Amino acid sequence: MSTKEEPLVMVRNIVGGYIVSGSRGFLEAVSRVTLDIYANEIIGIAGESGCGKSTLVKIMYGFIRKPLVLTSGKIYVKKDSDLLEITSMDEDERRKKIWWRVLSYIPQNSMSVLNPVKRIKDHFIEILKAQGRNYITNKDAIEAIASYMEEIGLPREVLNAYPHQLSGGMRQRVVTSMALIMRPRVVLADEPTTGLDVVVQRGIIQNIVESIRRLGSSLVLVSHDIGLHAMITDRMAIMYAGKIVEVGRTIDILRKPLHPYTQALLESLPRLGDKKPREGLRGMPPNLISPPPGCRFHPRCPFAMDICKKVEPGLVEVEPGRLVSCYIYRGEEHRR
Amino acid sequence: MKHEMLVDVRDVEKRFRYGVFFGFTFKALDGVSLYIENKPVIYTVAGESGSGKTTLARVILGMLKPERGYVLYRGRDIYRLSREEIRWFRKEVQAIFQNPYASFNPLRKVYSYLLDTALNLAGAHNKEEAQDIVARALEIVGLNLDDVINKTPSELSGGQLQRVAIARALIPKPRLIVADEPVSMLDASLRVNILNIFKEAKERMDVSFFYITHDLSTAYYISDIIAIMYRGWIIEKGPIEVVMEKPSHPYTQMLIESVPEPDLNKREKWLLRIKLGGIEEREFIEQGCKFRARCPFAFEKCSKEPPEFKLENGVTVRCWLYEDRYNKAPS
Repeated sequence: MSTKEEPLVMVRNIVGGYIVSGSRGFLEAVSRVTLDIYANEIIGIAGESGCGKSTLVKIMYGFIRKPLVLTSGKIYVKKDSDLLEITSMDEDERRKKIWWRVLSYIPQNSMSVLNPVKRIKDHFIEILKAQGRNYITNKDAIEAIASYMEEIGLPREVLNAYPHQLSGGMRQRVVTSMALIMRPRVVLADEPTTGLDVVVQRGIIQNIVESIRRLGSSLVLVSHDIGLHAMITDRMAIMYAGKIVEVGRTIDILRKPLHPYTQALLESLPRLGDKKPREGLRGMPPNLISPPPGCRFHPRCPFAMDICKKVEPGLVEVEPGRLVSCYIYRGEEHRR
Repeated sequence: MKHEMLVDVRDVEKRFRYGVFFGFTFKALDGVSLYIENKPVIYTVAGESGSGKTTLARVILGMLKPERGYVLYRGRDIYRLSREEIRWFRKEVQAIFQNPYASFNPLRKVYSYLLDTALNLAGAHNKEEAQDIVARALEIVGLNLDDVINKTPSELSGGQLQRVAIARALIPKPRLIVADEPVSMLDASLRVNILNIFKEAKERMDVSFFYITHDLSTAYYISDIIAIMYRGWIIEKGPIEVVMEKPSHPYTQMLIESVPEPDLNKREKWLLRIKLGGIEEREFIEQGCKFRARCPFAFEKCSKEPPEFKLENGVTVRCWLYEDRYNKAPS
């Protein structure tokens, strides 16, 4: 994960969002986001509702369907020795070249990818066939899938079930194992365990982490839950109002958050064994149809200076591998 | 002594039918007992989905009559109240739910709700008195009149509307507020603001809270007492510090250990491999301890239903490991 290493995925200046009905404009959910994903890393994207984290991974995966629009920016993915620019591919090409084997995706709502009238085994067979394994018979496929299921600890009887017959946790495990079966280089997981019980969540996340490490792949974990990031991520990116405001090693971000938003967020979280009075943030995140000028956090920021209201700070490296978008960490010329 | 309790829930059983094909009934509440003392406390009921915690909240609110057992509110059986008493109960016990948008008519201005509540339930004699009462309630929840006047629910953020819901609940000067997952839809950075309002209402207005949640960190932050539910049973209850810092029941231990926290020191233990079960619903109809199939300490005795054991540290636990009260908690 050293910064000298060449990234596996390069996200460059992505701008994307949603066309709002009634011609009320364009909601820029992701606003000039740049991020690198390295080999063998677990990177977390954290932030609260509406910060753009889910939109960002949807764009990274290339699952861009209206009302979602990619306005500008590029995403490059390393495949063997090639560097593929996936943002200009159409969906068919992405499906053939990228999905499942290079990038795979675990959505929050498993029912959005499971077909309710198909058995679980048919979902797996479909993936295998779509990935050029047409030569195998269904029987061979089922054997292969069953032994894969066993390997990752899913009961075999699940294969014959329909999605609705399974509990939410079991469905999420199925979707997770679908995302991993083609040994992708990077798994994008969007709130993969949100809404599940904590014990089930722990088990599923352990499964994912174990598989990722075993395959030597990388994981991008999108979650609003800072606790979950603390349990598994190597690095974190914190998003606020469509922007990445801070990137760094998880250990550094948790021990010494730099951005005032990150500081406030961490301060607001109650912890077991600690009754110290805490304060939450004031106000609300801005409307992204017409975001405030300058730093988007300035209306809520206790340290806001004049410049923060006018000019966007931009993400700047303040220590090796540590990026923050805040004038507090710039030279004196910005302070007044 | 019984009449001194604010709420006394005794051996309550509530069944639901489940399964399209099998027609089983299962006990969402299977012999639940607890009491809330008649002094301001925040009593948390925590559990995962399907544990029965929301059912318990609804039973205590008088919305769901149990098949067995009873619920006394200040000594009176809430399912046998006279018409007069029902009005009294509706004033004394208020509710806050998870989704504030579902608790308000989307077309009606929220301020008119608050005024009506002041007129109907807080004994305001005229509009001026009602306005005063509403202003005081808004102050406690940290809202200005300008924030809410002329606003419909959709014009407020989730956090603001939840504050309005709390203001409405406080207006009748209740003794008890039942809050079912009141912050789980809010962003983490705003949750603590709502929790602080509960603490303040408890301290300044002597309101008790029955806080239903799946989130142990927020429970720890505000509560005095906690009951942990598992599949219709209260498996452990006691003072929050004791239960959270020295959990007795193997399930409570597993639950606490599984909470992801923004604390890197917890990582190593959290990543210790746990085993996920298979098809889960079977446990509802099994005999004996309901946690047996998942319990790392299960032994022969667990095929019999464990009673409640009272421990010296003030905790009550349903687990055979504590049959001999000198047994130590498994570590």
